Parts: sequence; C-alpha cells; structure tokens
Amino acid sequence: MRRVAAALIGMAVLAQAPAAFAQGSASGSITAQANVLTPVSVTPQQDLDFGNVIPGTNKSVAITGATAGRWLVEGTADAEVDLDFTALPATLSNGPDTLPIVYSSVDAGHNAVNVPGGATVFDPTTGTTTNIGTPGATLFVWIGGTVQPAGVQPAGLYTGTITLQATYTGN
Amino acid sequence: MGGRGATRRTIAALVLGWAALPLFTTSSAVADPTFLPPPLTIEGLQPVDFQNVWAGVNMSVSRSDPLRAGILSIKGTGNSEVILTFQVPSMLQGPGGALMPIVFGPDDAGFATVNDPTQANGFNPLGPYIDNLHGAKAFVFLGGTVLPLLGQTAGAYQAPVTMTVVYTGN
Repeated sequence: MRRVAAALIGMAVLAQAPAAFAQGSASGSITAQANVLTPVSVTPQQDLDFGNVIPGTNKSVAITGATAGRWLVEGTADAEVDLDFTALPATLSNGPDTLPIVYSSVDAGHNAVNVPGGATVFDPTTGTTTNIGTPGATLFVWIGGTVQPAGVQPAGLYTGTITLQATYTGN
Repeated sequence: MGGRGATRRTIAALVLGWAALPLFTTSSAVADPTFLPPPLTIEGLQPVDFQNVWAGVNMSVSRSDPLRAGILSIKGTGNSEVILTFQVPSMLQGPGGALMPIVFGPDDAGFATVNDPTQANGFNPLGPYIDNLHGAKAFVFLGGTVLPLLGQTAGAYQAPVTMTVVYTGN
C-alpha cells in the first residue's frame, strides 16, 4: 500500500510540474536588421565650359548656365552623402600658360532632378552634405565659376580637371 | 482485527491523499506566492539596427549604443536568479533570399537592472548567462557585427533574435 500511495503522490507531483515549469520560463524576440546600400556612383555628364574669353575680362558661368559642369550621382534613395570636390583647380592650363579660375560660395549646387534652377547651392571649396533623391535615387550636381584672364593672356585652349567625390555618411 | 483495521486506515489515507493533493497545491500557490513565482515576461523593446551598411565593409553595433543596440526587458520575481540563453542568427535574410553574415562577440550582450546600457554587465550571447532579477525586472542589450560581402545585394536584411529566460530556483 505504501508503494501505491507513493505512486499516487508522484503522479500528482508530476501533474503539477509542467505548470510550474511553464510559469518559470519565457521567451521574447527582437529583430536584427540592416540595409545594404547600393554602391554610390558619380558620372560626369557635362564639362564646365567658359567658351571664348577676352583677355582682361573676367567671365563667369553660373550653375544655372547652359554650360555649367554637371555630374550625376546615383546610389540608395535618401541615403546621406558627402559631396566634395577633391580636385578644384585654381588655374586652367595651356602648356606653360595658366588662366586663373575662382569659385564663389554659390558656384555649386545639387538637386534630385536635372533642374539647376531648383538646386540647393553650396560652396564648392568646402563641399556639402545632402541626401540622394527619393524615389529616383539620383542627385545632380552642378559647378560654375569665373575665369580671370590677364590683359596679356596668351591665346589658346585652357583646361583643368575638376573631380567630384560622393561618399555615404552612413546616415 | 488489527490487520483489517490497519488496512482500512491505509485506504482512508490514500483516498484523502488523492483528493487532497490538487487542492493542496492550488491553495498553496494562492496562499504562498513564493511557491510558484509569477510568470516571467520578456518583451522586445528595440531591434539591433545596423542601419545603412556598404557591401564589403563590416559594421558593428555596440551593446552600449542606446539607439542601435537591441533591447529586451525581463519582468518576474524580485531577487530571483534567472538563466538567459539566446538563439542568434548566423545570417540575415535579404531581397530574393540573399544572405548576409552576422556574428556576435563575447561582450556583445549586456544585463542591467535599469534601462541604461552603460550600466550593463557584459556577457557572451552565444552562451548561457546567470544573473539576478533585483527589483523584479532587468534589461538585456545586444550588439553584433554584420559582414556584408563584396557584391552584397542591396536592400533590407533581417532575422529574429530570441532570448529565453528561466528561473534557476535560487
């Protein structure tokens, strides 16, 4: 009889055990998440062209001008990028001859669409931070400037290289 | 007579025991709350958010980052010892079934009695961790590192992280 009693007590205890265990443990979940960005690309679309200039007469091209320089930046929509001109010449060259070029604080601009009139202007010497457009995932960047030919500027074709770098900030 | 009397007593005791056991355990739970601790509850408060990452560039989130570290809360019985275990993914799943590796280091999880990751004790989320529910609640913080491959498909990636908490009985 003692064996029967022990078995009954054991069964009763076991019957209670799952309930106690269930109350003594719990689980919860969160998500681990990340967004892989499309690599950013910068494509030159148009040279900054001052056309013909006259010695001794400065000539400017605004970012809204038909001959302003233009790049297309493509990447992840709404991702923040730093825009920096890593090469911004102070002179254009024609062999040994040089032609000064200067930039004002509004000689660069960016817009999500190819409309320079609606661009947000910035100083090309300091660069800026902005976001790639949504939903097109594009950003157009323009640059203008002013050449300052001397009164005795030798005739010829003067060129220089301007380089735009776009870098994701991670924001 | 003595033998029959003894048998009757035994039977009577068994009948009483059979009927009384469920009553005993039920009434005991009500009268003495410490016998069965209140249910543990786990709530996910914040994901581990790596935000924007670049193909080929590893990105880590510190468990002490208040905005990007994962956070879970635990509520239960005060001063009870609990054991925590994680089920962590080895890959996040992205667009079209693309996979991105994720790893967790020996100090990527933290346990604190307040919702402040800077006060957390670090531990390895890949193994069990034992601590105490002082104040009947605790917060667990989780960081990690994603390892985007070169050529990793762009888009959103995610995977669940599950934490299980059990009373040790201490």
